[in-house]
Amino acid sequence: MYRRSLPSFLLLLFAVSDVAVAGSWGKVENLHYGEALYHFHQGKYLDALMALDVAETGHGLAPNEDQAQLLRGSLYLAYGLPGAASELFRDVLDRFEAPEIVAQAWLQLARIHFRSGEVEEAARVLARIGEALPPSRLPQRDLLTVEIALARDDPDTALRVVEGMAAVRELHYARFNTGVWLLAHGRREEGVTLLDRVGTLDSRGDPELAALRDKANVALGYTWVRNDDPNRVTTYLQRVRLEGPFSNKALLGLGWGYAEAGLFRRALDPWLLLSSRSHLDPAVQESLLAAPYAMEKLGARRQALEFYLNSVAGLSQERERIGEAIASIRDGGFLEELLATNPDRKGIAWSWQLERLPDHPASHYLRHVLAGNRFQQGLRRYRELQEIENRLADKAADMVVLEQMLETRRQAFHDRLPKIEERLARHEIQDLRGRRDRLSRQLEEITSGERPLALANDRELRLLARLERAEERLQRLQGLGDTGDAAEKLRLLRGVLYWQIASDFAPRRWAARRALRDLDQALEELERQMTSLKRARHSAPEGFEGYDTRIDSNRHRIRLLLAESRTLRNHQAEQLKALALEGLEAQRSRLGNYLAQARFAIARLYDELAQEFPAVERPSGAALPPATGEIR
Amino acid sequence: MKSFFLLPVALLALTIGAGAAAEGEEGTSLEKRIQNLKREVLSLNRDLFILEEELLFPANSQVAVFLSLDVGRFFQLDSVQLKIDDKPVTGYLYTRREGEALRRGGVQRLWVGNLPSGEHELVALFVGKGPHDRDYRRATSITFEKEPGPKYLEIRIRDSEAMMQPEFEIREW
Repeated sequence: MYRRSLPSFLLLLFAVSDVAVAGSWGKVENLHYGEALYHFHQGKYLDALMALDVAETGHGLAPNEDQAQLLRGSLYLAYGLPGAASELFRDVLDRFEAPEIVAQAWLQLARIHFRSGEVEEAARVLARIGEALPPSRLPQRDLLTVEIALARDDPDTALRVVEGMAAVRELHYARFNTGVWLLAHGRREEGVTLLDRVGTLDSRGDPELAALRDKANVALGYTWVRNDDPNRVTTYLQRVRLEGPFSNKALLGLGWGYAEAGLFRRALDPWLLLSSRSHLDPAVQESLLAAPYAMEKLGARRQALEFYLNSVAGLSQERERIGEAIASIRDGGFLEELLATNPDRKGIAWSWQLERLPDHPASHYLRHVLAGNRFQQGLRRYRELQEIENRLADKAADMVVLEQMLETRRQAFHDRLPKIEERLARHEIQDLRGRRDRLSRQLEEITSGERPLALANDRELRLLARLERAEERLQRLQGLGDTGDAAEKLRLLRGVLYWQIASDFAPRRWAARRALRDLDQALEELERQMTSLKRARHSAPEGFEGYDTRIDSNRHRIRLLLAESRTLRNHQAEQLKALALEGLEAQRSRLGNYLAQARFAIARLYDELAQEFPAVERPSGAALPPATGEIR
Repeated sequence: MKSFFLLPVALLALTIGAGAAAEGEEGTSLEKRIQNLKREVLSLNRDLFILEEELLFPANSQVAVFLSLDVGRFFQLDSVQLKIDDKPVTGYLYTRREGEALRRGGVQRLWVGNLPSGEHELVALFVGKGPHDRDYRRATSITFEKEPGPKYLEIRIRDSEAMMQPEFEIREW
């Protein structure tokens, strides 16, 4: 599929963003404010807004409350909510006192007024900014001051501000706007001086500034076209990039510069070059008439006639194609193709820009309409609505997931409840505590009665038992023989065993006490667990009860908003379609005008040539009179 | 013979930066309706976010780990891995855009999850480029007590001017 890039001057429309990205947003002392900034600096404005809104309803944004409110206002402004933004900035002025915060709120309010066309109110608000604005915001203030001054027909203030501005991006826009204003109001020398600085700025690697530079040079060139100074025209228009979006305009102007000075031979070069380019561009269309006009002036009437005839063929063909484009726009589908060709790669509807044209019959004729501010704004709104619908559809799906999750929780709780109830009813803790207390008493008795044998280990107990059995047996054997040695041996063994146990009594008593302490800890842990289990048994239902109503209510909201968004998107689509058709009709009308002029010129030339050379016949292709002048 | 001359059009097309063109009545009303819709969508988004958070990460068990970068001259963050109680909970690779957002004061919510009350250990492992563009790996840890109510931890990467090195610390909020 053939795709053509849109001219980069489209970017200019958004050159000075509503969100002042540059500049300081204060020291981050609140995690949630920092989180909003993290999204903001990545251009994820919706996420940034969400972080601020959620923090405000929860943990708050102190001590960054004032900066957060400023940020939220700027985000609302960028999201196309000037009313809401205005309310927020007014709130900042009411609630906060830090001079740099207040100054920034005034600046933003002034921008909102200016954009709404309330120039005087904007000027009044601007005057309240004072001196506390952070340095990073000064260029924005200065540019706004210049724009307001020009809107109030006060170029001297604009000039004074431009002179004092720092060499940053805003300075070029301020110079450009002031320069154009001055030219348009007859203050040519001053206007030229300003535009010349824009026209010579170093724009390498910056397509936006390169386009601004081209625009300045085109404006300068055309200024001198009207003043018959081909050298100046050449100087300025030759600065325009040959492959840039303004090169056609520059070539046309170059030709007119020479033509106005009577240099028709030189005028032909740019016009002939231009006429070989795509006929879609208005400048090229005009060259189709300008070139034969120059030929006529040079006396090459036959060539002029041929050229006019070719121009009529070319222009007629274009007009027919425009007719087809109009029909295809009426059939619908163009907008969808346009958006499908420009997917939202970043997931950020409001910073989305049109970069490519779809392979559609209307695309090429709509380049200029698409580049227009009204169409761009409308398209952006359409894209935003589409994005809103996508998000709402996702949210509707989330509601289903949340519901399933709640159901799972509810089920798990009901499944586990009988076991929990049974466990809680067993009173294990009391039983275990009773056993522990008995053991403790036993140990006390052993300790106070100094009964080391009570602390004998299993092996020792087995040995003691064997000794007792041996002694019993010895008892039974008494009188049957000499058992004295055996009895003595047993007595000795018992003594050794007793001595071993008794000498280890203290460490054994200590170990027993430690074991008792370990048991106490284990019992405490068990008690904690049982308390937690009791608490969970009562609080677990909170994890799923009451949410059903909230989910239902939100699902209802989503449905309503989706319906409203679809309706608005359809309205917006109709508006865009009307704008596109309006643009195409204007082109068709302009082509009609050119065609009429070309046909008139053809008729005139035929008449002139017929009078001079009666053999000349009307139909194209018939024998033409000998040339009265040839252009080689 | 200048009736087709484009000059006036050319100059008119050059003015930029002025306010948006005034739209018709229909456009204004549509714009107002779109603005109302946007406000309602924002409010819905907020309510749903809170609802989801309450459901998924109830306050009593919620733990969130944030990451911030102060200046960042001595360290360029490529990735971070988090372990809680010796179990990996998340790993994150940073894009240039995200790195830049951190450098400009943004704070990233790196992880949010649920933990029972009691003592826990968080370990963070950072990989990136240190001073003189050298590969750099460092870890830092903290033992913290999870009590009822949400718990916030901030991992801070700061430049130590004295040491000419990055510093890593974890702060409880």
